Amino acid sequence: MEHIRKLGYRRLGLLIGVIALLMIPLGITNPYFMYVINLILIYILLVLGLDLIVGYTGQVSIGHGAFFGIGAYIAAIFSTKLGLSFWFTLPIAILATAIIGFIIGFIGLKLIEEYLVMATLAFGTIIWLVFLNWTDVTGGPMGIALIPSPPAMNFGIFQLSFTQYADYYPLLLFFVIVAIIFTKLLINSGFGRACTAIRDDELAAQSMGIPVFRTKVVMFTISAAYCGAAGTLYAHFIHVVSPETFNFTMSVTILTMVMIGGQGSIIGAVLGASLLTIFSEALRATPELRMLIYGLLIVIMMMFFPRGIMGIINYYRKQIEKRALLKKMKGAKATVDVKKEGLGYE
Amino acid sequence: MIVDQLINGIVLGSVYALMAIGYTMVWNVLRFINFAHGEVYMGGAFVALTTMYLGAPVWLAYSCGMLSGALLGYLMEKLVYKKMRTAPKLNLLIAAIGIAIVLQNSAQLIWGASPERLASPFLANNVNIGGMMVNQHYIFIIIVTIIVMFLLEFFMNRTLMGKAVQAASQNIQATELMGINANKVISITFAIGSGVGALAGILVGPVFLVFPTMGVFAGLKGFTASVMGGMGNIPGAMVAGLMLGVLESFAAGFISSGYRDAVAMVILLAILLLRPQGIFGKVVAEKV
Amino acid sequence: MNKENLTDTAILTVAGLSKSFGGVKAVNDLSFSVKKNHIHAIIGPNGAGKSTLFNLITGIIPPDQGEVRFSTTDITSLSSDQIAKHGVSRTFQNIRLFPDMTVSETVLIGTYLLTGAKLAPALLRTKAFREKEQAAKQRVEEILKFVGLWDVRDEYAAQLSYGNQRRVEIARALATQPQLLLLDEPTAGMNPKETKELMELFTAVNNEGITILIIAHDMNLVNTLSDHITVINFGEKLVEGTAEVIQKHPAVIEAYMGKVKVDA
Repeated sequence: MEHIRKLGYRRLGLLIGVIALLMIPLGITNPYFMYVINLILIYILLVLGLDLIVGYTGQVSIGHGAFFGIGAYIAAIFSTKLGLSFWFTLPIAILATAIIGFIIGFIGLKLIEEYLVMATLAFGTIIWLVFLNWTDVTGGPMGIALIPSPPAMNFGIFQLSFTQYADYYPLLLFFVIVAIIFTKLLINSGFGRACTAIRDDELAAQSMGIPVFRTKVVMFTISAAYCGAAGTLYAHFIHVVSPETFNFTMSVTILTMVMIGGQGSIIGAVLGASLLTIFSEALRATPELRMLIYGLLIVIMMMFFPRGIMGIINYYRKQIEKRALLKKMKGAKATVDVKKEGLGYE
Repeated sequence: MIVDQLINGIVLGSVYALMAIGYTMVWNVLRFINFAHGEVYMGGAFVALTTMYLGAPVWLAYSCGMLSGALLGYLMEKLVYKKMRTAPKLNLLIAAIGIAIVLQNSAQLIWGASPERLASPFLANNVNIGGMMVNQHYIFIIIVTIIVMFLLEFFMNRTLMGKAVQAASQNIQATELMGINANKVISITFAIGSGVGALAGILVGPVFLVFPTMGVFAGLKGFTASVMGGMGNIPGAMVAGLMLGVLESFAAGFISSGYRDAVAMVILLAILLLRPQGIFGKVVAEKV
Repeated sequence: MNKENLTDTAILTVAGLSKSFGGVKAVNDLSFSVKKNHIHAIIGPNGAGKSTLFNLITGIIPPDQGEVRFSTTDITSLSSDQIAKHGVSRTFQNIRLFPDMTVSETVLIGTYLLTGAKLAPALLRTKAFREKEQAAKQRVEEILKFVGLWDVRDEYAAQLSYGNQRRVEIARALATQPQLLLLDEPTAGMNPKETKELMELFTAVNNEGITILIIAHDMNLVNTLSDHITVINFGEKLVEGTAEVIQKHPAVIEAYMGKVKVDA
């Protein structure tokens, strides 16, 4: 009975949370804020996607900006040249990025550590150069403009016409929630556990019967597909795609969000994407200063908080738990170790 | 035409080779890729530019640029990487990228984004080599590169410190046990690698101009060359740098200039997949 | 219990196995077989090629020559995950745990072969998926109770005592439901009490019908536990037989005494 009530509360809490999230546009009248919030949602999708391969599988990619770009360009090309609507470009883009992700993963994931980092860097740069130079298809440096909005949606009492930023919000939020649920289901399964085992010790994982290479490739494919979906949403939301959005800096930004939020954590992904987007938008007026502080922040986080924001949160949670435990034991010497979640390096 | 491309290639290649040395030296002692190395190249060029603007003669400005590049590399290591010796590789990588972002944008704040030409006493003259007119500055770049390579070779093989650097690249813990100050070796490695990288930036400054993001692609190319030569292999990096420059120059001339930067990336991918130990590397058996 | 009746068949056969690293013959034309339900010990001086042998059997490194057969299947060219699938599991000389996992999470990884990694059932949370997950959790609980780690199941594996870390590794290996368990110097660095407890555990595991191939230095352990001993030196088989045979064999005495001389 207790159990059911607890579950009920949890469901209720989630429901209230979702409703509260849906109410956000009503409270925000400034379209710019709405734009930033939408941007955050797109970044959350990207960070969730990259975190699958970096945080949960331990394979680093600094080429994921390319998958984001491929998704966006596919959406742009199919919608402007073939007149397909968002609901058709989305599955096409997801499928295409998954296929390309599979190919790249299949070629590249035989490499380990730095070598994989270099290979993904090379891949990302090549794709970027294709965006830039394949003028007939990608529009070259100018990119592709006039990408249509998704078709209007009617839900009886309220409708989304996609004429203002606030209309995109429920759509983006829907995809973010789907992605979070998808990630959770994926991680809490035999497959997800196999990935974390590979992250922690590849050799030991393989000796437990886990096909290391295949598992990595599958996760890389899924990870690319997330970025493809984010790219499609981006293209239909911003209406313009151009090469400079999807360069090396984009790959680095996504990876930085993963690291700052804390690898291998959904809350970390949400926090990393939100804080860095807000931060960089807040300093928009002075772009150089913004990037300078951004860079400093990255260096400081990596030096002193290697596990990102989630690392700090977990550290203090452990501290509080430890204190509570000590209080409970009263006098008895407790040796609860918080070393593993420690803030600094040994 | 072909000779033209070849000379262009050798000049480019010299610069890549100088850049590659920095990556490879740091890899040798720390097994890590210093992603901020391209910014040392940019920083050195800017300091040379400013020194010259203040009225210093060319040789002094170039030396100042090179020394400040070395100092920049030294500080990078002292202030950031040294504190992260036991950190996971990924964290180091991201920190290096952070440093690159900081340096690029500092340069933009100080000097602005518009490209400027570094002065060179040789730029206006041409030399006649077998009927071919070659810019004197190009010859200057090639000569300086050759001198630097000989000096490096001398330093690594004939001096005690050079030998310590070599020992550290074999096994840094063992070096420490032998009574060599590992931190000092690492500092010197960073300083020399960065000084050479800064020199590369200064040398191309009169030709390809100086701007805050000049180090990004130069860094990628230098780094490709270091992979081609086999990570940690200094002579390999030099030869590979030259090869990459020539290949790229021919590709740009005969295929398409838009994809010239892709040539290096395709080579990088191919080397990583087919010969990760580099063109000149030996396969090292791994102990499980 | 009379083992001899059960153990006529060989569960693992190594035939003419060779591996060299840059001219050094780590394992050289080695042949032996492990009988079902035995505890079979591999002994030999340091650098004799014992760990290399394990890595060859479990597919971590490929042999230059020779064959490894598990029951009747040729597993020589299989990868280590496929070999694990056939029912061979192992522990490592220097304990390899997953640094970010608790004890029960670590052992749950070992149930991979039971739960599988199909994506569609996982995403749809089908009945079959939930049943398998339940079965996996059940198995983890049984194994943790069996090896005596149930009380520390929620602690991080890497923070346990050395002896308990080894137990976690064994528990993880057992979770794959192996027929053959390879233990690479499981008691190295343990104190006598820990060693004794681990020896009891090995006997218990063996009594469950799991064949054990063990590398060890501790002659007391080898003599007490093993049904059969293979001595190797410089990658070659020196001699094999029961404990009594080995102890008296001149070649073994020479190999060990010779080693002492070199050290002195």
